[in-house]
Amino acid sequence: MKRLVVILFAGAFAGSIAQAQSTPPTAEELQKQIQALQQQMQQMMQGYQTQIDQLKQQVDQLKAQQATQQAEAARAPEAPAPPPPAPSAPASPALSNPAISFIPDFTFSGGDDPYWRQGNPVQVREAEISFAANIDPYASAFAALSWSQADQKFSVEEAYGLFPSLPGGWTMRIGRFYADFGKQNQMHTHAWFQADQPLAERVMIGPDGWGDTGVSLSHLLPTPWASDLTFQVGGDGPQRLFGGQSSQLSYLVAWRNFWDLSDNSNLEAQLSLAGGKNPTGHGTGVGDLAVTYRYKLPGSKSHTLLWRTEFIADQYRTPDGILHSAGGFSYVDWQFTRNWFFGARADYAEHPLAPSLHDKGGALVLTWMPSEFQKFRLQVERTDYALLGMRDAVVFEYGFAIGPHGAHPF
Amino acid sequence: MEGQREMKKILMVLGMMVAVSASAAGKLNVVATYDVYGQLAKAVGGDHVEVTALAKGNLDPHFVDAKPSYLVALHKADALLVNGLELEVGFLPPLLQQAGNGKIQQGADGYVDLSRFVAPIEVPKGGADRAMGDVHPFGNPHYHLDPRNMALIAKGVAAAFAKLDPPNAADYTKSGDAAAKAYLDLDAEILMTLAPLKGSPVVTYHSSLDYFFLRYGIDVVGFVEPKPGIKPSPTSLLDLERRMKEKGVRGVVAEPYQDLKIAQKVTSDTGAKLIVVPAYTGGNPGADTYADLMRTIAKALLEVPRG
Repeated sequence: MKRLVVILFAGAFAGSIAQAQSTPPTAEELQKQIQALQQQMQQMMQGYQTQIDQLKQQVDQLKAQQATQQAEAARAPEAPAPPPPAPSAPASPALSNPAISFIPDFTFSGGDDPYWRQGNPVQVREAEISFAANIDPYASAFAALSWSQADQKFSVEEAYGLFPSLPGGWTMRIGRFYADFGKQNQMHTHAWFQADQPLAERVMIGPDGWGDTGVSLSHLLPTPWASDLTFQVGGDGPQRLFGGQSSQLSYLVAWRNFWDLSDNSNLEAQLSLAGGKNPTGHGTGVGDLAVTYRYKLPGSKSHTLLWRTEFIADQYRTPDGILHSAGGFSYVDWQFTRNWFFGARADYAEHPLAPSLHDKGGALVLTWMPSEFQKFRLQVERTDYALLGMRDAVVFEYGFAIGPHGAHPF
Repeated sequence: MEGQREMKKILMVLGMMVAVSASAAGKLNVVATYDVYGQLAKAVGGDHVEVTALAKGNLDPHFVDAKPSYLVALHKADALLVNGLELEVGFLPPLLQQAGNGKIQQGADGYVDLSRFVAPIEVPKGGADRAMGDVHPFGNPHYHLDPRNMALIAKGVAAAFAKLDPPNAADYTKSGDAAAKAYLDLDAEILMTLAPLKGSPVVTYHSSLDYFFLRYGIDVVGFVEPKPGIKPSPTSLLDLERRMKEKGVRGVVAEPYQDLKIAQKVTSDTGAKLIVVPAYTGGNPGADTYADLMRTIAKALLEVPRG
């Protein structure tokens, strides 16, 4: 049976071959066959391409997964830190302690200028201890106490609570602080650009500046440039302006404006007006216009220029009339290398109670700061005093800062 | 009586100013202390945020000046992104004190310290002391040069934005995830690009690029600065050059704002190549975006002679 099937199958196969050989395909049939083959080839190619694309995608996905896993594995033990403890949480000693810094200032002076002859030629001109910390989530505190060898006493330069986020965008200070009268007046001794105060500050405001106990409210104005307005009400104010009358108040308004002139330079102008009553029972009005230009060499971190000029005008009323006096100073501070600074200052000041008398002078300053935490300074100055004549001084100043002393307001 | 009248006038002026200061509702106002984080904030926040970056990348991030004009942006900000780890200690605190904006004060939801999202390296053990130079007591603050950190930050910023602006929380999460993936993709790319340099020794001027070198396996064998922020002395340079020769260092890497004359002296004495690369975006040619910055650094490093 099997043989029969094989014979029949073989016969049929042989017959078909014979038929095919006997009728050769036409060109049209061949063309169709070729087209069919081409279609098969294209389908195969598309299939392969799809498979290749899928494989590529899988490889890319695996790579991305691997990179993610590597990153996550590397950081897994170091996942985002939990939020810091709430302020009400028990505080560690580090949190409880304020930032404390100590900044002494030593001077070695020679010459016949009476300003430098008040104490020992070699002295601790001032030693400042400052404290800063957040009081609670609403306010921070800053205090600066200083000791002077010449006066042999401690004084509270500043001690205030700062409320930086009152409703309506107000900031407030309560306590004792340097009045916002000009720019120089707000600077602590260790931050001065010269070894001494400008003459106009000394003669028209007072050798210790204008520090007072009171309240200060500030608000940024809705202007395109940075501008803020400050109102201050204080106690007696400086004796030379208001006579140190303990029962009187002094009032101050300061308007500060800042403009960026370029990426590397800016201009600041501050107008301060203050008033109070002097010992005669009449009013004293005083004003200060401070203009500061700052420049930084493009791309440099060690070439800067600061140029500051302040004009002070005083109106002192007495039963006999009004005394007008004026004064001012202008100084530059040029950081010409990373550690070296050169400065110069010109001074002029009329005496508030005797405006016909005026002092004038100037100073040249060379400062070396090996780091931002200590300075060596050499200053030569000449002053023409109305009552004393020409006097000269050479001053060497050394100061350092230890502890975390925060940046000063600009 | 005269005093009372004056006080009334003052109170009237104060009242007017309060009214004027009432802020208008709108996009989330975001301020970033550095451009690189400003770009990240934009990627995460998209159209829901208005971003202002304070310091440009061509400045030494340690010596940014507290420009009072920054106050305008800070006063209006709903969120402030800070690098933290005391990098902004020289300029940000006085600005915040005067900005009159409680939303971005430390401790508020709008104050976003990005260092919380990463694990800093080089945290001094046993505390920091100024004898160690200008060292950062909480660790190296230049963590942005590891893209994996940026990925973590993107997700952290998305969460912070979502908290500040709940109606758009889903968008922030989605964008944050996308940004994180983009940073990780970039990381994989740089990893492959710099594979040939793995284990190569280099010297850098400052520790600004340590995260980058650590991530991509480049061996930092010394610094031009003997201690962070301290100007090198002739003795310290001689010592550095000796070590460079011993270890076969062929490249010295510095940022544009460093003292390049000193770096050039080191390279001319040792025959190494000076590679000047930016470490931050914004203001630097070839580093407009974060990806550009990373590729620029990687490409420059490939120019260090090998073998």
